[in-house]
This record gives sequence, structure tokens and C-alpha cells, in this order.
Amino acid sequence: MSHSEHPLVRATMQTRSEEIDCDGALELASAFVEQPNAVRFTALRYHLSLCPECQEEVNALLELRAEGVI
Amino acid sequence: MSIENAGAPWCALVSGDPAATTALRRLVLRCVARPVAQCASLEVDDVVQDATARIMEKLHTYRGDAPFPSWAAAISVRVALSARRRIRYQHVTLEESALAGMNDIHASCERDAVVRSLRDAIETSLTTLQRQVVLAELGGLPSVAVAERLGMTRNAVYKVHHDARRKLKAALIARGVGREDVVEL
Repeated sequence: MSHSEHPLVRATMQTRSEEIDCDGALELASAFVEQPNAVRFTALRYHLSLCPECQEEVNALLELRAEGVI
Repeated sequence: MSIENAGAPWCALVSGDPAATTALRRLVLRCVARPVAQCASLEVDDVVQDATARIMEKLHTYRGDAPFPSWAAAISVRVALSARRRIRYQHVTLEESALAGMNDIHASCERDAVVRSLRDAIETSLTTLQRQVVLAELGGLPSVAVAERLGMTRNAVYKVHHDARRKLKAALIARGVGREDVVEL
């Protein structure tokens, strides 16, 4: 087989049997922006690698934190 | 920890305290300002109202894992960005986006043997709903818009996508594809 760079192939082969969903990601997002490197957010980081919408939302939260809004 | 222990002025939201409500609306306004400014069709008052109502609905679920403003900001940002996505993609149908997704697959097939296996798996291993969701999102339609067109929640769409990926992964592995065949970012 050749090496594939296709995003859907990558997402498919990285699929885990248990994943948090978008509601689960929202529950964790506010604590995540306080400590983005904490080990307990591994599942969230994985979700963000697959879900561009949750990633965009977390990026917006990180910007609000950097600006001192939160 | 619950909202009653969130500190002033937030602990007074439960009783409908006007000062707490005003503080919340001010916070929400700052959180949604940028997404709203980037979309001329969005009315800031509507977004603030929707986000504030959503926060009040979920107030009983606040557990104190993060400061209350961060928790409220996460909900506000989701409400604002979801509204912006709905407007941006309001004229794109599920079928158009799924077709774009399938065209993307076909365009990659000639040079990528794994994608050819993926195309075959999409055609043979998935339900109609799973195929629609996978291809529409690949075609660029955000899951909130996919959900709206299918009468589902965004969370349910994620679950359909997850089930589809699990089936596709099994199908690709059965065709001899392994993690070593995928370029990691």
C-alpha cells in the first residue's frame, strides 16, 4: 500500500472504540483552557484533532483567555 | 461544587438577581463579539439572548471544574459559532456537500491506493445515513448544518460519524491497510 495523506483515511485509521462527543468536549473545554497541557485532557485533545468545529471553539476560548476576557 | 458556590455575582443568577444577570449579559457580549462581527447577517442582541438563555438552562449542570466565566464563555462561543456556521452554509444542501465529498474521494483515488479502498468501503460498508454524514462533512458542511438538515443534534451526528469511521477502519484493515500506510501530521 502507498502512504495516504487523505484526511478521512487518517481520521478513520485513528478511530478509537471510545471517543468523547461534542457535548463531552464542551463540558471539558472551559477546564482545558485553564490547563491545556494537563494529561487528563488527552481524550479531549484527540476529539479536537477530529472535530474542526470543537477545535475552532476551543481556539476562540484560548483567545478570550489570552485577552483577559475570561 | 455548584453555581451557589461560584462566587459573586454569579451565585445570585439562580435567584434571578438583576445585577448578576446584567453581569452575565456583559460577559456573553464580550465572548460573542468577534464571531458576530465576522458575519453581517448575525444580530448581536439575538446571539447574546440565545447564549444567555442557554447558560441559564444549563446553570444546574455547572460543577465548578473551571471558573464560572470560562464555563459560560464555552457555551457562548458554541452558540455564536454555530449561528455563524448555519448562516454561512444556509444555501448548501446535504446532497451538494456529499457530492463534493465524493468528488474529493474520486480525485484522490488515482494517486492513492488507500483512498480507493476507502471509497469501496464507503460504498459497501456504510448505511445510507452514515454515508451521507461522512461525505457531507468531507465536502465541507459543518456538523451543525448536517444535523439541521437531518433533524438531528450535532452530538448525534458525531456519533453517526464515529460509528461510520469504526466500520471503515475495520473494512480498511480487512483490506490490508495498517497505521503504517497513513502519513501522520
